[in-house]
Amino acid sequence: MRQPTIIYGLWAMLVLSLVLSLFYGAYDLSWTESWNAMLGRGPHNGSAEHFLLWQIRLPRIILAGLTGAGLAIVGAAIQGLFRNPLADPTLIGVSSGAMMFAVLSMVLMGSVLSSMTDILQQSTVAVAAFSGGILTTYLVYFLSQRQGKVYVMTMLLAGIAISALAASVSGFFIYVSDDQQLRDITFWTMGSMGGASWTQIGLLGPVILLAILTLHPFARSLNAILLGEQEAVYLGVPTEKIKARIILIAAVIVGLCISMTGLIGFVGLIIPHFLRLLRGSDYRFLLPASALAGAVFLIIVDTLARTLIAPAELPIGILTALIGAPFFLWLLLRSRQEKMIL
Amino acid sequence: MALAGCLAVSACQTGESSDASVMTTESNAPLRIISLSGFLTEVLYEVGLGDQLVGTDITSTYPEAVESLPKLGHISQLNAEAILALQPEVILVESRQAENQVLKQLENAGIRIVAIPTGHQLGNALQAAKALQKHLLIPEQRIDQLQAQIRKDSLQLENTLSQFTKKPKVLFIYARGAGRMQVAGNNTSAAAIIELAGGENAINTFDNFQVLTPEALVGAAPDVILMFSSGLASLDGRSGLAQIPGMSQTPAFQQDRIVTMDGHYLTAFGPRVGQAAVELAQAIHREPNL
Repeated sequence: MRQPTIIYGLWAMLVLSLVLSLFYGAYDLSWTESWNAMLGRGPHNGSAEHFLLWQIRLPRIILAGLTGAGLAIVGAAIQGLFRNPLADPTLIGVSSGAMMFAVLSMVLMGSVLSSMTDILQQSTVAVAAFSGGILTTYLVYFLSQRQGKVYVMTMLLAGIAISALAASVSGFFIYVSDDQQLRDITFWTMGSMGGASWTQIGLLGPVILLAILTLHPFARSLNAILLGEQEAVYLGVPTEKIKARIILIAAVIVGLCISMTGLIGFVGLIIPHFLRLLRGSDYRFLLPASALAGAVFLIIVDTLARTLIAPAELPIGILTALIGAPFFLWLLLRSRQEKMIL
Repeated sequence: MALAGCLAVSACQTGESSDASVMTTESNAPLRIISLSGFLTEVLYEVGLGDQLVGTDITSTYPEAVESLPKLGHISQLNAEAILALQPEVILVESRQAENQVLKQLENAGIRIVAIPTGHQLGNALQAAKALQKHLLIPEQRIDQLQAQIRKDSLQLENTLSQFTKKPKVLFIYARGAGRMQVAGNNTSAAAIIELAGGENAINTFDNFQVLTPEALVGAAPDVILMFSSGLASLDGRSGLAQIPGMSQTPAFQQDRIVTMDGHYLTAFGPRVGQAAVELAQAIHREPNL
């Protein structure tokens, strides 16, 4: 398949998944009912259905799409930067840092912050997760700097060490947490699109768009870096600048996504690989395609999360791997017969 | 804590009383109610509104009639859309769990979210029923019945406790499988029911639940070990209990004084808490001379 074909195909799938998921949910509505309710027309004028579609289902679908796009494109960029197929945003410490701060805020909230209003408490977890992600990433970045140059290999190892450290701090607080907190933490680490609001989308949307626009011009440079960092420098690629930008973008995007939805693994790692298996490692293709495929993937998975066991809800993090992994394995085995790409 | 709870109740009551009077004159039609608390579900059945429930959370296990209702999972992981599909008019939650993004969405959808404060007293269910009465149509007679029932249970509890002179040290172990065991400290529902039943909580050095350690277990030297039935089952019964390090050194284990009760019955502080306390009191005291 040619690259433009895949990109157009992904756009088509994005539109299709948006429409299908908008008309599909635990609240049983026929297509015409949904359509009328969307427009606020007919018997459902300004009714519960109108609210359901505009204030609950649509924000949730868009949040899923934005998160999927953000996590996948950042995953692709990080893999390119580290020239390592196993790299994903967890490697630079952002996920484990966000988790550590979120867990900390959830456990300490009961005692220290109990006087705060609950709305403040809710956003406390989000703010804590975001700042935790940024701080940890900065620490990893700082540790791998020597004389103004960032060593990618050092960064990889520092990321692993800092992540382990953060994970053990989280582990300690999980250990001493009470039952309610433990449950909150468990659900948080499995992610959820529940409670999505237009405010969140207003915040995340522009940031994701900006990130995609900023990352796009780096595609050629990432292709050059694929040859080796030194070689890229010879080709005139400003590698230090690109590293700093990509890591900053990764930390902001992943930090924001995590703070709004909790941990959603697998998307950032697998989506870029999936596309590589389809069409090789050309980042001019890989970056936009990852964003599109990530959005499609999370929209579909979240639709399943909210409908499979309705009236209850499945954590989305369970489903991303459950659905993604077998599909990915199938693709991996199939392509091995033709050519090895990884 | 308790004081803060009371303040919240009174603030809540004065704030919404005018609203409530409008409510009661509005209509007598039954409402479609969702309860996201096992405790409130039980209270609702107790005051005769059980048939207005259209869905409950996962902690609603009593009475048996709830089994046939849609289960909406845990309050931390709600599905807004599926709840809307049940077309509830009122959603009941406990005040301490009232803030939640999904609940906020449902409130914006025009569903009334009613938060009821809860506590650890014998009259907890009565207070909750009175708080519910401000929002739901509960006949005065049912409230009086509940009050009479609680008074009766309370007298029976007093009678039971008057037979005993000693306060046995009771250690509550919350187990969810062998790897995860916690003991109840101060300000827990387990400590509250133990004290209500004339026992002494074996641990008073910390608040909330903490991880069980062998040394703490031996140091607490409990006369009685109290567990949920489901908790003991998760350890494969008494043989599993014996394998907990330090357990065989406790007086409770040596004298085989392991008490188990249903988790919701024991710690929900619902309408049957008085009976639960009597049952617990009889189980934890052993004074054969009396």
